[in-house]
Amino acid sequence: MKIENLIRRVLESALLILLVTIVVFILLHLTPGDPASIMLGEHSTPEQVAALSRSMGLDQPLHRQYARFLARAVHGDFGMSIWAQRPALEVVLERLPATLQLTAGAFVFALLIGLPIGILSSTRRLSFWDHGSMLLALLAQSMPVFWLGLMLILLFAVKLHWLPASGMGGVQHLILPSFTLSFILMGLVIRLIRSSMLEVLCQDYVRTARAKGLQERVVLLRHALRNALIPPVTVLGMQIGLLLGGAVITETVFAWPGVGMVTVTAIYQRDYPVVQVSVLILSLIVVVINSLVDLLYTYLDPRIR
Amino acid sequence: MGNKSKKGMSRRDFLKYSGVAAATGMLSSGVRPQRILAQNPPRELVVAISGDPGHMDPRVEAGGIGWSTFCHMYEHGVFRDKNCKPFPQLAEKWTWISPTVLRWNLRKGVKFHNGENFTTESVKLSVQQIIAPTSRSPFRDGLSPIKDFKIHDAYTIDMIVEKPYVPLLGILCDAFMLSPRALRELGDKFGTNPVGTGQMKFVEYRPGQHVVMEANPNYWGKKSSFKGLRIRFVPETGTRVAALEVGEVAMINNVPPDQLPRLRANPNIDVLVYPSTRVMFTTIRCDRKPFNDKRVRQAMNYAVDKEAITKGLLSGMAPISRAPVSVGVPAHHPNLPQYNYDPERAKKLLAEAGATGATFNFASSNGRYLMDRQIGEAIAGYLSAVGLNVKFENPPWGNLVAEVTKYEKSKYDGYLFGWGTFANHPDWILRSHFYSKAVKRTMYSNPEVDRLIEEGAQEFDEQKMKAIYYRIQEMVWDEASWIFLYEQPTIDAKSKKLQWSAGRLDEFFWFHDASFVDG
Repeated sequence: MKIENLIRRVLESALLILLVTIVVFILLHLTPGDPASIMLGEHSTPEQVAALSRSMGLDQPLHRQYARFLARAVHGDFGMSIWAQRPALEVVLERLPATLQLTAGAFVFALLIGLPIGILSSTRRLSFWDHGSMLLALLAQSMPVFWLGLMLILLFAVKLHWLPASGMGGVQHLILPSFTLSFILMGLVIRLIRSSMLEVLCQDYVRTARAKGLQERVVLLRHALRNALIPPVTVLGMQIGLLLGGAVITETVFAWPGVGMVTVTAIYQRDYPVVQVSVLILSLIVVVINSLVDLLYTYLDPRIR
Repeated sequence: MGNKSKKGMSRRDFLKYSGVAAATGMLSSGVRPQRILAQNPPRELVVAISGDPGHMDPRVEAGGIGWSTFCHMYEHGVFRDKNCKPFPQLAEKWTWISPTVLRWNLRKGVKFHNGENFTTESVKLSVQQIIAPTSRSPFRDGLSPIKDFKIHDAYTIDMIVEKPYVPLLGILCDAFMLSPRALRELGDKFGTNPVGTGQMKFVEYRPGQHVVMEANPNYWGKKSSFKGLRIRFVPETGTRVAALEVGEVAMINNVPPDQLPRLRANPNIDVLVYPSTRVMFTTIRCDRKPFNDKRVRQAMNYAVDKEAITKGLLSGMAPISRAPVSVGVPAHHPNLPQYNYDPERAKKLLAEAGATGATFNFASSNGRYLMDRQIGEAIAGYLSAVGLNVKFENPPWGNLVAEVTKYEKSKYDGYLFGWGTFANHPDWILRSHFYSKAVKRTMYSNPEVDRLIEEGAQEFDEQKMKAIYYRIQEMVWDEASWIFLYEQPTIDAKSKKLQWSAGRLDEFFWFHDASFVDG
């Protein structure tokens, strides 16, 4: 990638993130409910609510509140969490490793399961295996993560006693939540790998490889799969946002203390600084990963350089 | 050579190494010393509750979950027992030495977790924190009658009110005793580093995950039978139930009625259903037409089949409200004429008042109270059936609170609400809802009720006090500024291995006297 393209990409990303913070800021403040009344609860008087709102600067016009947020944010100060009374950045950052762990686990599961099924499906086109794989892909994409998570808890924790039902601890705690979350991506992986492989398997160089007398395994894995992987890598990289979105629900079901859970709680509590920081960090992750995928794509496919 | 580059890494190597790095990173972040299922350190009590208090500051509104959590680390001068009756905790004794002076004689030899002695300075400072103008405590108004303190010595303090205020003692049961030194030294970090005198010492608070405590070896009273207490935050009901079933936790709170058959079928689990002081009701705006007509409000009471609601939606576990003050609170009126389900009478009363077809803007929360959304829908259905035009909304709790705390400016003509009275005095609920000089939830106003509420709060004689509050309840029941519904039960579940005297009327969980059956 040329340097000017890279600079343009960085500037575009910064602008995108700025737009996201503006939209989130406006949406949050337009939603009924304010942090002061929620914090003081049902016992509060209007005077108490007004005084607390004043002390938090929430009585200021929206554009002034946003300008103040931005002025502080460029200095790395995202304000205090209204609820936790700690820096909002700290509240979110301490949860980030848990979310990254969960999404990475889901990504690995989606690939470990989706890749072989996709390959199998493409090599046995229109067979029983192919139809079965497509059905599985359809189920994976349409099954609600919330319901699936609870079913997996019932099966693997309550009935079989193989895995913990919830919480965060060792590797065994990671398996159920990341497996559940992986379903969001798994269907996509199966379908993408299948279609990409079908396309590649018709290419001349694959026929040549077979004509040379190479083993089918070598043809598939060394020649076909390597080229078939290029489009899925790009698409899957772009889907990281989908996983982060799914993590919100998965974290709630499994009491997994990640950014998703803190964001949902913060939205309910109208903890504006925490929501802003969460969205900022999550959009930053999505933008950075998308840019990395672009770079990776140019590396994997020399024709694009 | 294929694609191999002589200058740098080949694509094959790149893919290989990045794959290995990703897998290693993921696994290493997850790998911790192996813990077997349901194995917590011996004698640590692990429980799962439905929410995270969000902070560890006992001066700030924290809801039942937060107050219950704090109760293990902080203590009160006077606390309430499971029936909400006050008992001496850090105050050895209390005495009303005159109708306006409440004296506390403090227990000697009590130390905070930071080693500081508990003295009258702590009492004064703790109460001052609550009644300060900037306080975010829900008990500020309740304790604001305290106008002065008189410290006699390190262990004797008088709290002085302007005019007699009997509910004061009960409301003081919510005032946690704070360490003056911790307040001074910790400053802004006070809210994240609890320092109390309690049976448990704070170890760690991980938002969204847990709060961990360890037994206080220097506790002045009966030491905990547990090595520590870990309160996990598990918001999803199904997951909480599963965690109890597999033995990850020994107790869970907020069990919805639909989960009870599953739990009752489990021989290792006890389901705990017990009454609370929380009455559930639907407010009605008494200042808006046609609801300013008593007949319309009474009609709404006749229109709703409370029995069907509690049977159908709460498995028959919630007793129907027979008075504005719940059964567990002193001066509960046991003999009021009941608003039995009578839709024909409701229709007749509405027709007489010319209110048939009137619009009722009604809301219920979603997830704050047991089955609140479904119960709100049922109420809306019953009211529609007798001829009201019900506009029903079902906002999340935060939105509902924000709207209803606009009080007279609220867009709702009524909303489903609940109120617990933990202060062991009916003043807490009656003043909050029927005293016209307090906040205006229904805009109900009756000078005679106002006068009696003021009189009742000053009456020390139990019989006279009872007579006053009976009279108040008769009036507000008749004038029906609420649709009186039911008393919400508390539903928890625990492992049979946990010996725990549950059943507190104040809906708190407090493991002060709990232990494991097998030690």
